[in-house]
Amino acid sequence: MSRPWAGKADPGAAVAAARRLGAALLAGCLLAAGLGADSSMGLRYSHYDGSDGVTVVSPEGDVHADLDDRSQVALHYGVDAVSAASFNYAKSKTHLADPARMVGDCKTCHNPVDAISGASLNYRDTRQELGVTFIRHWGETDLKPSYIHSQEDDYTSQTVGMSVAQNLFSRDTNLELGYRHGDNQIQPVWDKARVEEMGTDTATLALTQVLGRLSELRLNAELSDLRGFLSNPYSFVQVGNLTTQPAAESEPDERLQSVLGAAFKQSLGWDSSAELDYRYYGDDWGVTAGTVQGQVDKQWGPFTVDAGWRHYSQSQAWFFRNFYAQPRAYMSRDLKLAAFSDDLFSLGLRGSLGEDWDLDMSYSHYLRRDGLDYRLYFSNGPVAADLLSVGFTYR
Amino acid sequence: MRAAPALLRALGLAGLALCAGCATVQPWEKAELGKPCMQFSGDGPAQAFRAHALITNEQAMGGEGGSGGGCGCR
Repeated sequence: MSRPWAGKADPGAAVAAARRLGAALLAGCLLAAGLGADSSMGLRYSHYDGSDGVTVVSPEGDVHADLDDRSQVALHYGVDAVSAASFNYAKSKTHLADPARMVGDCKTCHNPVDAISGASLNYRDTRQELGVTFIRHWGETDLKPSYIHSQEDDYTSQTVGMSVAQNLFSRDTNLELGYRHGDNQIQPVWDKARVEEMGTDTATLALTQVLGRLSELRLNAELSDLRGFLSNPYSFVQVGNLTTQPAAESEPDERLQSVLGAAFKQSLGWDSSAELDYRYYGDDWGVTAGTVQGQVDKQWGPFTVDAGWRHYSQSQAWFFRNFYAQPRAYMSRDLKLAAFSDDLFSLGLRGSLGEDWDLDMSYSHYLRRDGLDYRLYFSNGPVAADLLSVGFTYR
Repeated sequence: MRAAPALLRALGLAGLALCAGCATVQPWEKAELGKPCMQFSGDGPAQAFRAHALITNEQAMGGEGGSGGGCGCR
């Protein structure tokens, strides 16, 4: 539940994190090699490149080890190394609108974070995540306790979870119930003495049903309760006109979210299939969202190729404004809380490279549309982005 | 949000009706379901990164993934 790509950190941390990733994976290899032939190890490299200048490089590794014939342990370690174009205040739309601001440097007026864009100067951040899941099989029941620790320079998150999955009716039906609790601490980079807390509780339900020899259905439901500091300490709002000083964002300190999803998969014969998904999201901040997704898969020898399209649209939060004429109790111009729609076009390839290695590759293009006035945003318009991910698994 | 409990109840009832109404598919009839092309997109190998990237831009998250399905052979 963290804001994974917000904040500012030591640029050298990415290198140190990559070294730790290497050490962790080496240990994972030794663990997997020593624990049996059914164990596996995976490496993944992912890359995000946004039109707003944000770039994210995410190396990660997984190790799955069979402890005995009924127990498995899965370890995951990943890094998000984020960088963004340095803020050029000479091009800032608010500064251009007010020549009186074109004096001194940014720190003359601001904290070391751009008040308008919310981005820090020479923005760099590294997030590290370590997760462990234990899986225990009892007949047709699987028990999965898990723990995830996520660390950034200004954000620490710990999540504990437990899920129970039960096969029913000759494994035609699978019911999975889950619960997870998260504790988050936020420390803005300019004020390390300030510590904000945020807690999350989430209950999940997933039902997978074989409908026949050629089709299956999955239904999902999720309910989340978020409490505490839910604002972004780096986000500011413009109250009045372009010449007034921005004010800190303020969001309600509680939020109830619900999600319902359905996915239908149908074999088309000739080693191919089609999938149609729908997801509804609603919360008590007034945001409702719908996601429609379609995908076709086709096997060619040891490889499977997929092509998909996903459309998402949401309404805005009740307190969201692009501009505030008067101060209010709750104010935010977070682009995530605006009304907008986006599309994601994806291509993927996955399959086996011989007996021991699996390969998967995927590319997605993201495109967002909205009706916002971008005069106050550092970005010149909605974000477009390219996502690339390549993974290898050794068994 | 008031609609959420009603939707959850409807989902539960639909799920129960679905399970009760389905004829059992025998293990030897699940060859097609066990093919790689029948894997749900939410279980795909790059799904975690994609979901992680999307939640930086979107409010909605979750409601995907699960266990079971396929050939039923774990």
